[in-house]
Amino acid sequence: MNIMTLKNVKAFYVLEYWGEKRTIRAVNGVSLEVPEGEIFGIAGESGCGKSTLLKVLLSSIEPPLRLVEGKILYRVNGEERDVSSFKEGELRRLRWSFVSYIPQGSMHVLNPVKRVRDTFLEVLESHLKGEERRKWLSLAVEHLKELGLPPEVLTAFPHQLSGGMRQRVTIALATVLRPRVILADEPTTALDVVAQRAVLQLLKRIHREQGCTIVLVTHDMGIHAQLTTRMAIMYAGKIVEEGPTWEVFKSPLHPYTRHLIQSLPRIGDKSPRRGIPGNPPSLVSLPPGCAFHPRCPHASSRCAEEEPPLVEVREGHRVSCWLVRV
Amino acid sequence: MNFVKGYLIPRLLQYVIVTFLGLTAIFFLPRLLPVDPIKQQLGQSQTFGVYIPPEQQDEMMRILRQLYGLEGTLWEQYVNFWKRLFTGNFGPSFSRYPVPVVRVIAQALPWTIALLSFTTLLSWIVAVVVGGIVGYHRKSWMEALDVFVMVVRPIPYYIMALICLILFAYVFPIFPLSGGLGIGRTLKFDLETIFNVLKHAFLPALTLLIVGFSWQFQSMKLIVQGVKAEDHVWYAKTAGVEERRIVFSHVVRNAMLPMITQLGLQFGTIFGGALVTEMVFAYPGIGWILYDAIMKADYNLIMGIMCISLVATTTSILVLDFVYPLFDPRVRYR
Repeated sequence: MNIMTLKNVKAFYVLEYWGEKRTIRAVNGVSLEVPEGEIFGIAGESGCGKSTLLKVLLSSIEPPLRLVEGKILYRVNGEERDVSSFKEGELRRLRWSFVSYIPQGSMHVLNPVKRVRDTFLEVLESHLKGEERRKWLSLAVEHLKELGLPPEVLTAFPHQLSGGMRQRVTIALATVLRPRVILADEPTTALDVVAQRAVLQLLKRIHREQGCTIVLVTHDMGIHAQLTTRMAIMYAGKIVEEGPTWEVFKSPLHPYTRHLIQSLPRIGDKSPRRGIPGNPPSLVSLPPGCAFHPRCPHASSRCAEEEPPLVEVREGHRVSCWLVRV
Repeated sequence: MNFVKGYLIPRLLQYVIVTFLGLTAIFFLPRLLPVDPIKQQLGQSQTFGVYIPPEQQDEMMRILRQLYGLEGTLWEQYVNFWKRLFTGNFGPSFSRYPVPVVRVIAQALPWTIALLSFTTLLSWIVAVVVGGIVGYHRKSWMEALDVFVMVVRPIPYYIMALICLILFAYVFPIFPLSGGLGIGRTLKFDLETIFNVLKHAFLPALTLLIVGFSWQFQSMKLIVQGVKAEDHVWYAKTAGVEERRIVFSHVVRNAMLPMITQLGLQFGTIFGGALVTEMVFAYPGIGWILYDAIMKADYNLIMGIMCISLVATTTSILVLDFVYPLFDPRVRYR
């Protein structure tokens, strides 16, 4: 069962500088199925459209970002529905109760002049009604305790908390209403390794205890290897490979995936890590054909002319590369 | 107690030092001028044809020096200046001799304070509310207001005051041309007098309101647009928080902070009067008196007004320092 489905989604940033239009193709034709109950990882370099893809999944598409083409489907209460069919206010109510979001940097997402308690109150009061509303405080305290945060956090202001604490507060905020899907956008980027570990374990525990689906975006392949059950590799706004995590790591099919995995350090292996030559392409002017061909060591003339389709190679393992024969 | 030690006491100390230095500067600055005000005064009287017998000239100069506080060495004068300051005695006003400066100021101050505190506060409140809404929503009719403000704001204030005066007091004589109270009236507490006072204050207040509103509105609008683009607003929206909560507890609440600073600083300037307004409308406030004092070289009166407005400015900054932590928790624990 897929809890979220994207059908050939194109979401572009359309900007205008002094009358000159620029289109940034951040999500350029992505079809994706997020199976319920999995930890789904999305990997890729900076600027490949990972965060934008997450915004599309959250259906938080605001100018300058525009949904140019495609469909976003949510499975709410067992019924698959197109996000564009939602009535006024319906999507607002689905946020945080059905799908929630853990932001990249927690530094600025909390209102600096409000106590953490008020931020919780704000979210809970916007979603709960009547009887439940009155219980919000005990609900929040209980939830923080579950996540290993002291209740004193509630009376603190954001600037009084450490980075790790703040990140855990945003995780608590994102999970307090027990959403079915949690979208996490590089939740560990701004943290040191110890805090990273704590946050990852917390996410794992929430996944186990709440039985929710997590979509985890990070460029850190190590985290994918540890945490995710399925993963997709993104390059230049497209998904180039998707499959079960263990399989992707064991037998990567796309040359880009192979490069990413090779760059992971291994204990005991002292040979120097090789980087991928060249830079990721600009999303404003993509190269013709396969977007990876200028950096690909195996590129042929066909790669520069035709775009490879994303084809299923094995059960649940898809790749978009001319080198791979079905 | 930490708050008292770490915040209150340093601020108070700072206040005392700044006020002290400011008053000292007020004392020394006129004395750096190469003119002797006494000789100037006598010379002026003589050019107008007043005959002063030479044997009385010295005596007269002595008395004038005493009244101006110019006796003895600089140090003695300085000590004397502080003594007079603490007893609230700035000497007599020269242009209105022998009325003491304190009484002249006391008569003018209520007019100015009533006019300026009302217009400052009202224009601030309206600007914060309207600027907040316009900055947040950006609808087409709001653009019209924006354009209006953009046109009004660069008009020099005295031109605007004159336009209002010509329009509403001369072309359409709805409001009186000048003054704070009808000629021949005495200040009494009855309905008719109050109405008369309000009628006189209307045009000065209107011009001050328009100008005050325009620039406060523009700053509020810009601040709101900035706050609206901040991450926590986007995050709250993503979290499905209702819009009215976002508007008030996120956008307006954060945009208020710099606006509060502006209001506090503006309140400090009230005691200096609104020089141009009061001149154009011949309004009997501090600004009018200051203008008069400068024109007539009434040093004692100038000193008195300067001292009061200096203390008012530093005090308002002190009050602002004390009140601000209530609004911004990030300042509270520093």
